[in-house]
Amino acid sequence: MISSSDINHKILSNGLELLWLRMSEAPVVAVQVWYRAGSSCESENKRGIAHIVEHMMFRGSARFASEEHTRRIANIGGHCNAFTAEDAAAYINAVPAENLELLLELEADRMHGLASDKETFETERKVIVEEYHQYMNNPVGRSFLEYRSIFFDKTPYQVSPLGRIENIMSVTHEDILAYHSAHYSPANAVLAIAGDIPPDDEFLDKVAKHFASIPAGTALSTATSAFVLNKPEQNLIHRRITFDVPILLAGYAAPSASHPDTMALDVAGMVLTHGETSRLNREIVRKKQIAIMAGGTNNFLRHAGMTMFFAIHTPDVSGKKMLDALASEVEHLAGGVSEEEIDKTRLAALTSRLFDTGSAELVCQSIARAHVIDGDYSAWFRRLERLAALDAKAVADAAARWWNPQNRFVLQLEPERMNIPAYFMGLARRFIPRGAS
Amino acid sequence: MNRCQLLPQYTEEILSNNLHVIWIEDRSRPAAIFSIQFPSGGLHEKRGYEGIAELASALAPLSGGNGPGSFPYVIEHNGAELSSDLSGEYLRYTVRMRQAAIGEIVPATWRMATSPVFSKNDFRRLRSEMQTSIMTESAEPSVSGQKHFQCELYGDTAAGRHPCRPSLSLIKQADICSWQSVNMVPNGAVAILAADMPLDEMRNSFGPLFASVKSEAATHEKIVLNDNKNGAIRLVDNPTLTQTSLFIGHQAPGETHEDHLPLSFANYILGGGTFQSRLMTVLRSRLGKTYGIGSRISCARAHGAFSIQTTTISESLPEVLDAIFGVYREFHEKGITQKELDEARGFATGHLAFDVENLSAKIDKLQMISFLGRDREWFESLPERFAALTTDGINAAIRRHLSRERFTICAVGKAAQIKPALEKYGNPAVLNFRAPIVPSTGR
Repeated sequence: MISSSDINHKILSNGLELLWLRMSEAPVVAVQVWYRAGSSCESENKRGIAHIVEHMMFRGSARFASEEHTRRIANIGGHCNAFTAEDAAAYINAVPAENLELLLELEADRMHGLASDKETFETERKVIVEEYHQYMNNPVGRSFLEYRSIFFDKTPYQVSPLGRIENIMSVTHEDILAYHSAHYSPANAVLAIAGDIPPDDEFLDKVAKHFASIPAGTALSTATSAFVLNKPEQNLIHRRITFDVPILLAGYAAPSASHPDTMALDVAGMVLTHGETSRLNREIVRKKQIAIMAGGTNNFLRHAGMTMFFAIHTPDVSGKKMLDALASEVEHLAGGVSEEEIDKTRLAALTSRLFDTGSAELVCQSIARAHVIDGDYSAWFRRLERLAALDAKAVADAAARWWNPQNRFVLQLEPERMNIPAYFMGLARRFIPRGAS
Repeated sequence: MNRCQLLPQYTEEILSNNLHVIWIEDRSRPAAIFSIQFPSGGLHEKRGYEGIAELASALAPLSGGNGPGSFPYVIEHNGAELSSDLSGEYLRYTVRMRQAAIGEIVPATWRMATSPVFSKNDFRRLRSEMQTSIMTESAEPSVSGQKHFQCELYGDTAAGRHPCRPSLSLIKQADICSWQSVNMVPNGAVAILAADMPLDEMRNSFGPLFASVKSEAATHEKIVLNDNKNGAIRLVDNPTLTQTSLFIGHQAPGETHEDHLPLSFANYILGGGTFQSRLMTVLRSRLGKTYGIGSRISCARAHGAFSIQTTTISESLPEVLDAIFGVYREFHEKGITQKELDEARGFATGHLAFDVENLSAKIDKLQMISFLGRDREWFESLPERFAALTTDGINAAIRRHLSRERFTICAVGKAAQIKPALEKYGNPAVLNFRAPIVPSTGR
């Protein structure tokens, strides 16, 4: 299995960080460019610009016409995409290995500069508005955006990478070019390459040929400064939405991605939510039969984080009862975790790693993400070692520090009209005598 | 990519109980994959019992509850990963594991898949979960729209019916047990085991286990579909939506039809090839009228559907419909160009490397090849068959199988706003978005 010593790291003279890893299982190569230019870099009246620039990166650069990036890659059987997150904008590509240089050429050209016209920009703005509406037409998604804006109030994470519609409509073509020029530079980027790549001399020559002459630009700070999350005035918001079953979401303030508690919280999260034998499933779904389903996830960002647990339940169970049951399980974890539960998560992580390393794209994304968000590419590899060394007390202590009532903020979503069949279905499920197991 | 070995070396055999087994010795990492596929799926459900295949497939992995000794416990406490894939025609379980756990996981998975035992509580719980999931679909226009579209496309047949509250309420625990005992049987199934161990040892360790369960083969009635040549329009009214989700299409040949390959290439050029497709180029890149538009040929073995799907702000619907039909008419009348064929061929050939990038992908491919009744030769000669395709051949397939004007259309959006745009194409039947997703009556 690959290890952190298999990864090569080099910084070009213009500041571009290069990570590469040779994998020989299949004749494919993945190339990704991660810019430290996520939505948290946006100024207050331009929320959404990072995402717009991501779209415009496919709309033409000096040597490649609009959509030519995608077309050239598709014509050789490869694929490409991009996404904008809070802390980074990432461009991902994979092609048959003999075409590595094409990807370098394409990515270098659009790092160097955009070359779209205003008309194309206005067309792409309409596409982004369509994307925005697609998200907002989902009542649960829309409520969640409101929830996160309160959760991350007065921090750069308050607005999701999707942005604000009024800002999306007011951003100009000049703003886009200026944002690109300020953020999309070698000094602010990580180029990660994994797969069936040529010997180092040849490989490094190719990279230098395409990237070395790009002016360095200004490096944005890579330091992590933990955002202080403001405690909302109320620890619960309640909304009625066009949805047929109630949903309860309990969020807890969580640490930043590089904080030492993240590993313990990941394990704690798995103890609660991973699989049929997890605590939430065992206790509130199967034993108490209060929730229809329950789960959760940790989202550790560069400067702060959010842990979310959710439960979907029938209308015969009140939101308060659901919250009491869910929060009790989550916060009870501070009381202790068994070695058996931790072993389960260790083995799951090991299995997952064994298979993830069969995909050049997954490996590439994992090391690039670790470098840009966690601060060090080797964090992805060290994860298994840290997991092996983790003990039950550390997990319980981290849970106690972060998942407590003071850190909790709840979103309660109720159907705007009572769903009668769901109500009786819930009653029947809870109160009709159980059959033999 | 010229002809080369794309698939791993494997050994296959038919055991005495008619289970087809493929053994793969894979020394790339200390890991193993076990996959078993039964040739039974949602299309084989009895009328009125829609959802039984999904419930049965979800209940089997709960064998024994969740305490020590149960299947979930064995899987999760060994860190293994179970996935299940239920289609209209097959049910597949795949388990990925560390090699060290193979002795415990493979026998447990075999027992789960061929002799599942689940509790009444789990039956009731999963049925509630499925009923809840169905309720939540109404908030997801792309999901509910796809189902409404299939209802109109296939009418009151196995392909046009979906699980719903009444059908799920009708299903009893005994029905599930009966479905499992008839359909989840070794006879006619395909099992693949890839492991980091010598082939002989693998066969000696697990061959007797796989041969130990005898059964009749599952038999299914021939799937008969309504031939809805005249098309129909269904409008699903949700007054809260600002966008319309649109589905347009008609029935098409299945996966095993001789024209499937040329039609797949035609579809790639029209709307399957993401950004470089004709529909995406016009509707998104040129007009900015949608975040995404695509066409696809979705297939069972013997039947399929051609469809175009998109979402657009509702005010734009008239213009979007005109643009879609404009692109489609030109595609149908003038056919594809040599340049487009060359590009599609480049994609299909180059993409084979990703189809078999790792062991998981290779096993998926082997299961599909086996399911379609094909072999290694068929898969590895794909580059030659791609090379043999011509524009004339593809254009002839378009004319043979893609309709010029008869379409089934389904739109999910605000009826008061979008009905006039749809009336240009016929008389839409209007349903409330909370109404059950069922085929139209009167076919």
